Amino acid sequence: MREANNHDYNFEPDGDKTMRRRDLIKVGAAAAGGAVLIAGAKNAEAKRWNSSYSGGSPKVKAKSPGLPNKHYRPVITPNGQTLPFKIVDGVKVFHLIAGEMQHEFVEGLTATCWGYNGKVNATTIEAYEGERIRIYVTNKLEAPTSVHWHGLYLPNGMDGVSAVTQAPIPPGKTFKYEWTLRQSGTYMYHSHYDTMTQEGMGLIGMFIVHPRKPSADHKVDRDFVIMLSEWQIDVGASRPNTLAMSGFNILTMNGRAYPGTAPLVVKTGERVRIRFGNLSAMDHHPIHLHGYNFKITATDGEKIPDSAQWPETTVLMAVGQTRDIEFVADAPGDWIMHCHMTHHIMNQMGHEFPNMVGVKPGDLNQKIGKLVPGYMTMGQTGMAGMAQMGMTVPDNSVPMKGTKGPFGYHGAGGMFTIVKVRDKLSSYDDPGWYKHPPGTVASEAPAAEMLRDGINV
Amino acid sequence: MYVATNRPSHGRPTISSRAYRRTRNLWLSLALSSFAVGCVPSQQAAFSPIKSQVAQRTGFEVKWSHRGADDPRVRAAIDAMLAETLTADRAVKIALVNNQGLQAEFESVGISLADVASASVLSNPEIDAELRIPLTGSGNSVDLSGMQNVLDLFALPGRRNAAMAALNVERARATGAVVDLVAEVRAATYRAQADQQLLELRRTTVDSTGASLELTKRLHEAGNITDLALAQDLLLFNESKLDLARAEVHVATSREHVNALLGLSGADTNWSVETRLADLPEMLVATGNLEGEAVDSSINLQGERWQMKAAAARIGVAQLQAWLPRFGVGVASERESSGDWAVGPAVTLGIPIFDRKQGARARGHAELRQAQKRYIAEGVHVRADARAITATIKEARARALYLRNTILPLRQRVLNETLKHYNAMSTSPFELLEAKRSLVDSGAEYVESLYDYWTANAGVLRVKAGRMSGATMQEDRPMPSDGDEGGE
Repeated sequence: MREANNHDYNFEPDGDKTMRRRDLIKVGAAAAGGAVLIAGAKNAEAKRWNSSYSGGSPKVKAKSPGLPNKHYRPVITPNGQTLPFKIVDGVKVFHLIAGEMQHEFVEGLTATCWGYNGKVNATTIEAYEGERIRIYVTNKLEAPTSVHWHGLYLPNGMDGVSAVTQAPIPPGKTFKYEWTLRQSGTYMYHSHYDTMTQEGMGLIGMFIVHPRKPSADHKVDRDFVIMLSEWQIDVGASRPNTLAMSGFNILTMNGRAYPGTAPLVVKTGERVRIRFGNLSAMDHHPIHLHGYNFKITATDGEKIPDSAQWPETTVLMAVGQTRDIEFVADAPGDWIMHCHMTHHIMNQMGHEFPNMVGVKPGDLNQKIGKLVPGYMTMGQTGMAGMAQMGMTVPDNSVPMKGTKGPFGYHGAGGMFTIVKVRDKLSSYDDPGWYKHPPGTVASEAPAAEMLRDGINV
Repeated sequence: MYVATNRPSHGRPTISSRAYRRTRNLWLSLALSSFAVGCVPSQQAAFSPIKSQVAQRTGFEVKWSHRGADDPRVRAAIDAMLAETLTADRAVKIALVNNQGLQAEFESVGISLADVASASVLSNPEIDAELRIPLTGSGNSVDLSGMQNVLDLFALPGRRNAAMAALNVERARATGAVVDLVAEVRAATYRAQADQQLLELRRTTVDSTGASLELTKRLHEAGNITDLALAQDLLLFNESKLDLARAEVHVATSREHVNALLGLSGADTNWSVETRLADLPEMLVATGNLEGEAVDSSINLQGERWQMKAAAARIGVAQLQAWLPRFGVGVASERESSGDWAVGPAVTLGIPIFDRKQGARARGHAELRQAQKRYIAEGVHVRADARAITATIKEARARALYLRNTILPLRQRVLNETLKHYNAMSTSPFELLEAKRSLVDSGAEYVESLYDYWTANAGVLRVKAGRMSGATMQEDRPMPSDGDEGGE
């Protein structure tokens, strides 16, 4: 007997071919009833299949535009902005401007990048399911460009693929994209002209479509958007190398590297959604949240049924994917959230350095220092604390830059941020470091307790 | 010589006073002439023009010392100079008093001086005496005559002029030898200084490869790198030690070159040289009219001019001898067997029938033409040399300036930036040490450029002092390496 599955709507009963009449009648009756049932099931499944796997008819009538805080709770793009709009004759009109700009990844590192409306990676487009949108794209680059709306149902000619679905937007020109939204979820947009260069230079962003009829559990208290990306910026250089296929040394959330990433501030007990997108050139990123077990609630703009939602502490973000995760922030504290690839949470880590772990320096400092004043042997115990030694490094570089934490120098960087959960908040501005209740911080074990517990060192 | 006289009645012989006076005057004039024309310059007088020429051309004092370092004053002067750090000028001063090869050159002047002396005196008079004893009869007869080659009187100035010209040729040669020695000592001292500096730089290179090896060994001990990486660094270190050994030999040989030029041996060779070559001066030494200066001051051309004068003087002598091969005057006297003396003048005259000094004249003319052509050839060479040394010093200075003002600062900047990248851990300590070695290599290149400049400068001074610099001699040029052919 073949297994019924969602794709097989030609299911037929199987069984012994030699049947008695009673059995035949039974079978016949059963068959008749089954046929009715089957016919109904086929219709239901056909409907469910259509709605699940199709954007529906493109000839959909536009509905009224939605307004933030009236029809939907706006998302928060840490370190970013939401693209403003205006309503013109019932159409939500956006103006996306692609241009070159100076972008600060983290204090100490600025580079010439490309972005939209003055932001790199961090201009979020927010729209409302069913409304008609009109997006004017002005190209202020010296190269042609176009914009692809990643994951969105739209007329093929609006898909934004240069030379395939449209002509490239020449420098200085403005093209118009327009269609009626017939879906909701987390999507992205990015250049689709010379994508290696233009995505690599920063022409990417998140595209959020809020549901017109949200489900009961759709509402959250804090709705964050984070675009993941990676860059290769040689130490001391001031422009990303978009030819790189590996050796990315600056990893970002919304175009910023920790400690330049803004924390996600949440009040204890609030329901939190974080929408991730990954348009890195080459790498997937397993994003890990400390302290919580979240659910992955949507993939690439489509909600996962509750029963199928995948519990994780780490969500693997493949290149080109979006994922929504949700959790209840019921544990106060500073909960770090970061890519779990260890090299992705260091700023401008150099890979040309020899493996110095375990090397006994002896009189190396004296021998080499005589030849090169200012030399100091490094790395014998790892990379920690390198940045705080205060050694002179090339201008405009942040090698192994971290930040001062409440318990010492924190050497993390890159694709790293902190979810700051507080019982009391006067605002959602950075509340500073968490003040731990007494007795809840790991510290040196008292000798008496060790003795009591039979711990011998 | 005894002159027979008619004995007067008082017993003493007398001669007619006119004849006596004539004879006496003749001999007196001959004697005086020999004194007059035989005036030869003294050794010091012969050397004095050399001394003043050297002082004028080089600024240094030179002495012709027969005793050399055995002279306590010379010894004391040498000791005082060796007690201080050897500079180029100090080395020149030592060489000018102590280089026995130079002193040998001065003896050539002495030899020429002797030739002048020989050319400045008349040939000796001749006395001819015959005694004839009759085989029959009685009464001996005596023939007595004295002759003086008077032709010398006419030929002597020409001979002397030729000898003086030859003396001046030797003076020019000796002056040239001094100028050459000054330039060679300067160049040798610069080489010794440069080699000492290069030795220090090679020691720094060995320190760098040694430090690199030390780090490699420690990495290897920690298990962090391969045997191959360790072997590669061992090789680098040992190759640098080889370069150091070569540098040490260069120091030794360049010191010995200085010792040879300064005439030093034994304990005198323990001098120390100024360890750094002087920086480039603000201005290049004037070379605007070096070609003209070279021609005007050329000792070689001067020598060739003296050669032409000597040849011309010799032609004059030969031409005189061609028409008058021999001319002598004297007195002849005869005592006849009767005992009567007869006396009278005597003349000897050579008849130019067969030997009209054709060979000597032809030789003289050929020597003159040879000297003329050598003069012209020398002039061309002097001019070319002046132009070549001008180009050489300009290039050497430009190269040294470029290395000092552009390359070395860039190398230092690369080292500084590499240290920053090392601090950022984006480059390894090996690259840092390699950047240091590249700086040292550029430093060595700069030292060589300074050496090239200062030797070229010595060459220019040599040309201004009247000798050629040798800049037109082509050195072996290095063949391009394999990497330069065809590219990769």
